[in-house]
Amino acid sequence: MRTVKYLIIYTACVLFLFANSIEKASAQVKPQKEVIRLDIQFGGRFIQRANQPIGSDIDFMNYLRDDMGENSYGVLSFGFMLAPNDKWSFNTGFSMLSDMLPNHMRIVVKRKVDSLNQHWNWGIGTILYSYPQYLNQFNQYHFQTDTGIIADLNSNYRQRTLFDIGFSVMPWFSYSYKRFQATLSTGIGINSFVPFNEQIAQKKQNSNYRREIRYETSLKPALTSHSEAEITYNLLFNKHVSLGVIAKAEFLVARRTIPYARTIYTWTTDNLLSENVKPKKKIYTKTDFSAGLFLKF
Amino acid sequence: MRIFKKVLLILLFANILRIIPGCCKCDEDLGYMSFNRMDIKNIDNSGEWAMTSYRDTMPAAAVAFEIALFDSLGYYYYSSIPELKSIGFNTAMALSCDCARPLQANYHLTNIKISTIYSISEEIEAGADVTGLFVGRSSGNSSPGNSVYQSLSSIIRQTEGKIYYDGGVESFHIFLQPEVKNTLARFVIDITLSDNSIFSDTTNLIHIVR
Repeated sequence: MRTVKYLIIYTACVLFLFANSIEKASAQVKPQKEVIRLDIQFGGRFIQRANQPIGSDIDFMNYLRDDMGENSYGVLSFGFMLAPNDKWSFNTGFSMLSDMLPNHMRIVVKRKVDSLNQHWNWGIGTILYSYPQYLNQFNQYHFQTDTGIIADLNSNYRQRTLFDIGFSVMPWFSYSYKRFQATLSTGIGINSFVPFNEQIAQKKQNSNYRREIRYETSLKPALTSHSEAEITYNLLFNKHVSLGVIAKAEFLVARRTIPYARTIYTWTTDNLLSENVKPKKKIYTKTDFSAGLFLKF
Repeated sequence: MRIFKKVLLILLFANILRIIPGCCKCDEDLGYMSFNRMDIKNIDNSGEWAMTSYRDTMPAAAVAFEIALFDSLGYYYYSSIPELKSIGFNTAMALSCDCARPLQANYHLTNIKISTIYSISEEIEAGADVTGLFVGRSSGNSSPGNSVYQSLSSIIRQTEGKIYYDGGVESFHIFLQPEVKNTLARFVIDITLSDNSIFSDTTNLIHIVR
């Protein structure tokens, strides 16, 4: 409920600023020719979430780290930006982790609202994105808590891809001077991890006793604070085309959890016990840094 | 004469077309068989996976057996029945398939009854009907892997209308839930088919180890 209230207040403020400035902006700006920008970047992604002590229920977010305790990724990104005129720009891109699957996408729509002076502009942008990360060896919870039993009959490395989908609204400010341009945007959004199902099969040694634990996570939207910064510098340019370097940073923070329904089947599927579990919300952050080249024409 | 040439041309064209398919196809007709034999084997379920055992010992809490029902005439009898597939040329294929012949039992399972020859504990005496103390699991290709067991009634239900691709053998494991307190265990298993015929057999004599 509190999330919805903040969202309404924030949206109202943004709309007010937008309505005040739109008329002024349209009177000032001269239409320009369309611009297309292609970019390729490589960088790192760092996901932070303090581990919670092992309790009576599994907290899947404790397993966002790999076996080395790290949750950082190398990310290769490709971007395409189309600005049909001076006011609008549409940006889409995809990224990939070391598995080289292009399963991280983003779509950004930006509108310039006003020019503060020759160098400063501001506007509003929306971004829809999804990115993957790995849940690693979550069965370790059962190895630690379910003693006297074979805690997981699946001997494979238990890793699954966890997708986070988000939508943010972000006012942006940009500064341009000669070859240099910097854009800073910050705003709020809604994020949710895509639900998934997992199962753990267990058996007692020297016994026929078996049980199976099935987890079905559910959608839990979280209010997020989302900020981005982008710097570009034109290295070579003429009237029609320019080549330059680009650097980006992105930061996302929210209090998040992964709630789930847990069903424990003992001996047979007819003998079951179900309950809903909601681990405590904790601060979750995602930080991205990347740099690369762009070609604008 | 012209008509004869045309007909010959059409027939030739039709047969040329049959050469074109490159892949094999498995469209074997359904065969029917009757369960007439039952085998019971010991199962070693002490570890992670249940496997056939030739020992006569079992842990007290891991008493398990494999039951197999099949047609003693055998799968190869049915698959070797000559068939009149078509008149004229057979379809020419670039590949040949090793197709399993689908079989269906004329009479499916309707009931399983298990009685104990030795007492299992103080409460479960010799001669008692212990069917409800057993759970089961399909074995072979239809095994659900590492999940939990099924009730015996669920195994019985699955045999109705079942098509067997693995040689026409209805095979499943049964697992005793309570721990056996006695030093010996042996069971009589009666399986009733839908034609009311009953197969009855006893398990091997099992020495319980602790």
